[in-house]
Amino acid sequence: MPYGYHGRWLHVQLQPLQATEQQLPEEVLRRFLGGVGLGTWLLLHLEAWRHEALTPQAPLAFVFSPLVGSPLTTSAKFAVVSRSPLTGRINDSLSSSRFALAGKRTGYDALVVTGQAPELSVLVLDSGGVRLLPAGDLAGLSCSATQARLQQRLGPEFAVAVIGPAGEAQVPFATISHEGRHAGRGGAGAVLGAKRLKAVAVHGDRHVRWAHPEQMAALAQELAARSLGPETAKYRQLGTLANVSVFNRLEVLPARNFQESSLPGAERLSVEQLRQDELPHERESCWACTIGCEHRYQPPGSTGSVRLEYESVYALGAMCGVEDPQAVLRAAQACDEAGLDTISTGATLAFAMECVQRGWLDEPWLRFGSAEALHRAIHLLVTGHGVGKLLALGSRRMARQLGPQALAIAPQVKGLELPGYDLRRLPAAALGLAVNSRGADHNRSSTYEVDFATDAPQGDEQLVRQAIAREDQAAVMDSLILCKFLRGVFRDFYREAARMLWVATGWNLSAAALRTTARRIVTARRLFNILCGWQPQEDELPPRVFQPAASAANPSAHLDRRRFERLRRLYYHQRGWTSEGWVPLEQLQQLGLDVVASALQPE
Amino acid sequence: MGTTTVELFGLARLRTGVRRVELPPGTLGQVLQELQRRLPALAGWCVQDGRLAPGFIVSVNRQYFTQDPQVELAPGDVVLLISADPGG
Repeated sequence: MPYGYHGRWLHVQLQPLQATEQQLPEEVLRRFLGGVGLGTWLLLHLEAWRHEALTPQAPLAFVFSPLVGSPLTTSAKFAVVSRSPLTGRINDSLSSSRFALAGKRTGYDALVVTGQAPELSVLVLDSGGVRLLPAGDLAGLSCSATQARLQQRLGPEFAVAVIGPAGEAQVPFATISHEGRHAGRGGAGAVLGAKRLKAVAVHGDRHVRWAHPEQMAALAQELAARSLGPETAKYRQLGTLANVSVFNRLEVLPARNFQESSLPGAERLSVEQLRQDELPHERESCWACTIGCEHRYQPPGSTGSVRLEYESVYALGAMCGVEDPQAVLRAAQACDEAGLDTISTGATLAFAMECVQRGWLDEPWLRFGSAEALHRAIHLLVTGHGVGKLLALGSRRMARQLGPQALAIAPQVKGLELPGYDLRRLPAAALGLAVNSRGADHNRSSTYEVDFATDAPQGDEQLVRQAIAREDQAAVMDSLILCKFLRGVFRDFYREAARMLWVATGWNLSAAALRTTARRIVTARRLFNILCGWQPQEDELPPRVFQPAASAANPSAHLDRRRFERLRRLYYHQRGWTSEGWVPLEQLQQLGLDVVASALQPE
Repeated sequence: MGTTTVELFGLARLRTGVRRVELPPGTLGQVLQELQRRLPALAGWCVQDGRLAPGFIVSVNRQYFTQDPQVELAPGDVVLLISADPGG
């Protein structure tokens, strides 16, 4: 058995309840590492493309990594990987803290659930094996109430991942929550809900061995010291909310469903204003993290505090035209409690607001700038009452019901709602979101870094090369799994990642080998999508980003359609794919992905 | 003669209580030196001796990002002093 891993995964079938231990060959671990990479391998291995996301047979994988349990900063993370009910394509969400540590201590590198429980249940995995506990009394409870109830019932030694009412209702952008943090994007919570699981609880005492524990301790100490440097200062001192005022001034803060690229009252939502107003505030961090990026604010009249991130303020605030920080705080809290992705929720509501504005949807109360409408719409979305049933489809499916004109303004790629980067001025980000396997997701691509770089690319070929480099690095970080906020700390990422793997596993991997691993993981995710039925027209952006924002100071600030198409062609070329984005069989063979290549052959 | 405008964000704004400063044009290094002289609370952690501290960049006229102290700034130019990491 390799160091750092258990070398096996557990397949839990829910009805009849059965747990089967499966070996993980070292070759697979070397090729896919863990997290997002190993999760993708599991989906391919289980032929998950054959099942729609919300069917009982669809696998849902909780995947750990070789670094979980180590003292390396930010390493207490896990990935939740499945087919997405929102996009129909691959989905891999990350979350962190005790569930990662306790989950790996069960003795498995991944836990895969298939089937459907006979009734709403909690899946428990501990040294006694797996069992289902009835959870009828938890039906309809919020994420935090469910968590509290289960910790009381099972004991504090268990770590629990739960869904809220949104997951139970199978809203396709429902999250899985763990101690207030969310595996947020793409609807993993709906997949768990479709299996009639309100929660998964894990506890174990099986530790892995480290190949070089002394060197690991030294490396952890050194990395921790570096993690407190200027590269992470923004996250420690202010959090991601620091983006609001800056992005607004740069006109890259999407507002009112991407009709605008800034919001006149956005300063009210800025961290500078919240601090100046002395809103009660506290800072927290994930387990095994030295950065501590979480900044929580307490809404007036509330006993609890809310973790406030830039993306939540973008989606629930700027996108919906809501400038009242208290209203946005309460909306973020409502999403957290219901178990809803704040980005998809806010963007879908903003899309609906514009449909009302244009007369395509007869809900006159649902208008931009109304805090009351924002809160009412979230409530309806969760309960499924009235227009809530439509809102709960997400922007793409909702648009399909409203007509082709609505689809043109739906803020999504592959069905996943856009994050808070106005693509009109950010060509690398635009490319990254268009081609990404998960859809409009900034975390798996990180290509926006190219747009903000001080060493601006010289020409489009270099831009694409740099975008691919960011995407590849993200694939390895998400498989190790390490927090993205560490990225600025690394001086030579692949060399340092190889060293981390060496202290954990003993593998003597070269930086070049890890670069190939990155390519393999990116390509495997695309391969999964192709097997799901991906078509070239899916690597597309909403038409709106090719037009200027309504009130842009510089009307020429928009993405040129022909340039975007050129960037996409260059991307495919540099990836070694066909001009339409298909992966040639030879490349699959080179990357060791040809085991499923036969499925790509035309019938 | 016109001025170059420097706009402050995040901690730079919170620690100085200043949103915007008008400064004589020159190189970015000269502008930063004058900024530090006027707002000593920025010294060391944000600007130092005509250079940006690690972790900071500037946007010039919202057209490009730089840390280069040799960049020439003209009258009317607007410089946004921001974090180097745009992650959200």
